[in-house]
Amino acid sequence: MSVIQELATGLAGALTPWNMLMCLAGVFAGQLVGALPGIGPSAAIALLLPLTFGADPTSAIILFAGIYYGAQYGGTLTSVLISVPGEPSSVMTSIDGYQMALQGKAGVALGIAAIGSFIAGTLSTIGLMLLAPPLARMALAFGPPEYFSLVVLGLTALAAVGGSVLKGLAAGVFGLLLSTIGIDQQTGVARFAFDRVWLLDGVGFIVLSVALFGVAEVLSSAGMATQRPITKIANLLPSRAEWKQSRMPILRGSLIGFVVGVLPATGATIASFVAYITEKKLAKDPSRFGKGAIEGVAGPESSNNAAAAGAMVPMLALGVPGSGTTAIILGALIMFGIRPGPELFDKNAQLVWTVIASMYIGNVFLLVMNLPLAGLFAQLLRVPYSWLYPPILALCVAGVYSQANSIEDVWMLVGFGALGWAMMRYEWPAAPMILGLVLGSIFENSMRQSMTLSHGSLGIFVTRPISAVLLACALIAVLAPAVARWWRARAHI
Amino acid sequence: MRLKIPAGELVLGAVFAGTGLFWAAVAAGLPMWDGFAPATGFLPLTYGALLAILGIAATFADAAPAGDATDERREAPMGRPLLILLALAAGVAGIESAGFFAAMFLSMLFLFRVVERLPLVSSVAVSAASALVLTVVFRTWLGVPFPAGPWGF
Amino acid sequence: MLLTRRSLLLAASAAPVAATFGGAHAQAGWQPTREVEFVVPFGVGGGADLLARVIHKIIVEDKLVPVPIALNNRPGGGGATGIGYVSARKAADPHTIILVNGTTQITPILNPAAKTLSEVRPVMNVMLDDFLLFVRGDAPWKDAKAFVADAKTKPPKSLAFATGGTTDVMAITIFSKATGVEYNALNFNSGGEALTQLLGGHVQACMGNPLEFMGHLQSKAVRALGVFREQRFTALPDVPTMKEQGIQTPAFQMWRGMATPKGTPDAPAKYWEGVFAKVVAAPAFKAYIAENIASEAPIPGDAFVKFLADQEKLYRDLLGKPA
Repeated sequence: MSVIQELATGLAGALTPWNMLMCLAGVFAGQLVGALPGIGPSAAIALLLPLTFGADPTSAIILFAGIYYGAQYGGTLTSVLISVPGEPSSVMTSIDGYQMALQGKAGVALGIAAIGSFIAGTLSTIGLMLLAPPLARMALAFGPPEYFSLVVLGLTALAAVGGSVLKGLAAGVFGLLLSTIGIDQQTGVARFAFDRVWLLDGVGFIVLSVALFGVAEVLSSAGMATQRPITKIANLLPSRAEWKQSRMPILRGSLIGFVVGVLPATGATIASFVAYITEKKLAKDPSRFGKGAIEGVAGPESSNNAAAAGAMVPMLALGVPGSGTTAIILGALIMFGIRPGPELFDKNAQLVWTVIASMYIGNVFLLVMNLPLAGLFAQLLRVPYSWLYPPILALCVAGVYSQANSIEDVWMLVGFGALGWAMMRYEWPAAPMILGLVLGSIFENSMRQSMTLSHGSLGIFVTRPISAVLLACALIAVLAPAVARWWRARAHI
Repeated sequence: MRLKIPAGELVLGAVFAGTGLFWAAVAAGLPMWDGFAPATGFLPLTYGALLAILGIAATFADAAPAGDATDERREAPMGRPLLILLALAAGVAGIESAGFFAAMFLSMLFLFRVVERLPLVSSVAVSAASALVLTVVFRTWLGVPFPAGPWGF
Repeated sequence: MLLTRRSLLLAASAAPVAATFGGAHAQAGWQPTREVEFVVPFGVGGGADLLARVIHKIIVEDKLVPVPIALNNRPGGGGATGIGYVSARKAADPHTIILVNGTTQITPILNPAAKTLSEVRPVMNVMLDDFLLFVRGDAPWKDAKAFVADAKTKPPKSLAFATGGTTDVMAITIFSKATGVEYNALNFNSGGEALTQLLGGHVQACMGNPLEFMGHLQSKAVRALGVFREQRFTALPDVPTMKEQGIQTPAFQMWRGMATPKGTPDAPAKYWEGVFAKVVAAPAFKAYIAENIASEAPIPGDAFVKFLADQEKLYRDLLGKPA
C-alpha cells in the first residue's frame, strides 16, 4: 500500500533532529500562545514567518503546523484553571472544565483534555492521510445554501446550551445582533458603527468570550459573601470511571471536529460548540452539564483539535485555505516558492508527507508535555482567590489588548464584563451569546448569497440535497424533545 | 404563584429589550431589500424585534425563583463587584497615559490592599511581579505594542 | 467626499512651504535619530502584513536606516484604525512610516466617518496587483469574449461571480459597464474563499488577484479569460488583455505604497523616499514581486500623489459615490 510507503518516507524526513526540534518548538510556542487570551496561532505564525525566510520550507511548515494544533491544547489551560478562554475554540471548555476545577478536579479536566486532544489529533491525522481527496470534494460541495443550513442546525443549539430556554434564546439573539455591527460584507458599507472607526470591524469573539467568562466570573466569585474555598486537589489523572465516561465523547468529538474542520468557512470554534451540544443531547442526565460534566470537556476539547487537522485537508488536497490560520500557512508556502494548488500532494509529496508525519510526533510531544503539566498547573488553584483574581483581570486586559492592539477593545471588555456579571447573577447563559456572534455573520452572508444565486427563491435551501438534509436535522433537533415529552406524557396516562 | 423578580434582573431584562428596540429603530432606517436578497437592514431589524420580545418574555416568564440553590450568587451584595469593576475601569483608563505596566500595577495594588485588605509588602510584590510578567511575555516576546508611560515602560 | 482629495492636493501644494519653513534644520538632509515605528493598518498574517514584513526585513537587513525599526499592527476598519492611531498619536512625526493600499483609499469612500489617506503624506508606491477574470478549468468559455457573448443570450444576472472584497467588486463593475451585461456578485471574506466557491461550481466566475489562483491556474483547475491591463503579463503571456478581446475597460490595478504622517516636512519625506527606492531595488523585493505575480511600480513623491488622485476619481466612479 503506497500510503504506508509515503508515510515511511515522511517519517524519515520528520525524524531528523532538526525537524524534531522544529516540531517541538512549534508545539511549545503553540501551547504558549494558545494559553494566552487574544494572541492566537495566526499571530504567532506571522511573527515567526520572517525568521524562517531562507530556511527549509518543510521545517518551517512543520513549525507552523505545530503552532496551530499546539494552540488547541494550550487554550484549555486558562479555560479550566481561571475560566478565561485562551482561544475562541475553548469557550465551551470554560463551562464544565472550570466547574470541575472548582470541585478540585482541575487535574482530571486538563488530563482528559490532553488525552482527548491526543486521540483526536492522531485520529484526524489518520483521516487526513487516508481520506483527504474525497473529503476535499465534500468541502467543495458546500456552497452558500449548504452553509446556511449548517448554521441553522447550529442555531438550534442556542436554547440548549444553558438552563432556561427563553434566556438562552434571548442571549443567542443578542449575540446575533452583535454580529451585525460593522462593515457589511455584502455591501462594504458599515452599519451600527455610529461613526466610530473602532466599531467598523464589529465585536471580536475573543473580546466577548473573555468578558463573559473571564471578567464576569471574577466579578461574580470575588463578590460572593463567602470566599471561594481553597480546593483540595483530589487526583491528578482521570480515574477508570471517568475515562469510561469520556471514551465515547472523545471519539464523537474527533469525528465532529474533523468534519466541521474540513469545511473551509467553519472551524474549531463551531466544532467545539457542536461537540458540546451533541454530548449534552446524548447524555442520560443533561442537567449535569454546566456543573462539571467531564463529557463537556472531553467532547469539545477533542473536537477543536480534530478541527485543526481537518482544516489541513482543503489546504493540502486543494490548495485552498481551510481556516484563517491555514490561510497564513498557505501564504508562507508561497513565500517559500511553493505554489499551493490541487497538485500539492503529487508535486510536493515529500513536504506533505513529512508534515503529516510530524503531526503524529507533535501530538506525542504535546501529550507528554501536558500530562505532567496538568498536575503542576492544577496546583495554581491552591492559591487563595483573593490573590488570584487581580492578576487574572490584568491578563484579560493584556490578552484583549494584544488581539488588535486596541484600547477600545479593552473598554468593550469592561462593558461586556459588567453585562456578563449581571447575566451570571441572574442565570442568563453566556454561551449562546458567543455562539450567536460566531454564527451570525455566516448566517447572514450565506442567506443573502444563496438568495442572490437563486434570484430570490427560498427553494434553493430545500432543492439542494446536502442543504435539505441539514435542514431536516435542524427540524429534528427542535422537534425531538417536544415529541419525546409528548410520548412520555402519553405513556403515563 | 406570583414570582418576585429581583430589581437587578428587571434592569438586565430592560437592557436586553432596550438594546433590541434600539437596534430595530436604527435598522428601520437602513435598506431592507436589494434585488433578490435581504439588504443590510433586514436581519438587524429582525434580531432587534426578536430580542425585544425575548428579553421581556425571559424576564417575566423565567426569572429564577427566589430561595433555590443558587440563591447565594443572586443575593450576593453588589458593593464588592462594583468596586472591582471600578478598579478595572480605572486601570484601563490609565493605560494610555500611564502605560500598561503602571496602570495594571496600581489597579492590582488597589484590589489587593483596599478591596481585599492583604498585607502591603506582598501586595506590592505580587502586583509588580504580575505586571512585569505580562509586560515581558506580551510586549517583549510577542511584540505587542503596549502603550508606555512617560517614563518609557 | 471632497475632503480627501482636496487635502491630498493640499498636502502636495503645502510641501514647498514646509520645505522653506524647515529649511534651516534640514539642509544636510534629515536622518532618523530614534526608533522608527512602522505602522501596518492591517492584521497580522494578511497579504498587506506580509508585504510590510518583507519591507521591514529588507530595511533591517540591508541597514537602510541607522536606527531600530519596530512593526506595529493596528488592524481594523479597512485601514482607518491604524491611520487614526497615526493621526492621533504620531501627527507630523517623521519617525513613523505607514503601509497604505487601495483598500485604505476605498474605506472613506464607502464610510465617510473613516479618514485614511487624508491623514498621511504619500511617499512612494511600491507595487501594483492585477485583476483577472477566472472561470473553472472545465467551463465552456475559452475567452472573455465567449463569456460575454454567452451572458448576453441569458437573462440578466444569470452568471454569478464570487469575490474576495470590494476591490474585486469594482473589477466586476468595470467589466459589467464595458460589456453591458449585469452579473451577480457574491462577496466572501477572502480570495481563497471565493476560489473555493468557484472550484465547487457554486459560481461561474471569479475576479481576483493572481496570487491566490496561481497554483490552480498552473494545474488547469481554473482558466484565466482576461486581465485588466494595457499589455499582457510577462509572467502570464497566455492571458489576453480585455482590450485585445474588444472589451473596452480601463486598466485596473490595485496599488500598495508607503506613507508618512500628514504634515511630515519635506526633508524626512525625501529621506524616506530614498529608503523605499532602495527597498524596491533590492533582490529580495523583486523576488517577492515575482512570487506574487505582481508588478513593480515605484512611483515617488508628487507623481504618487497625482496617481492617487486619479485612482480616487476612478474608485468613486465605480462605486457610484461621486465626490
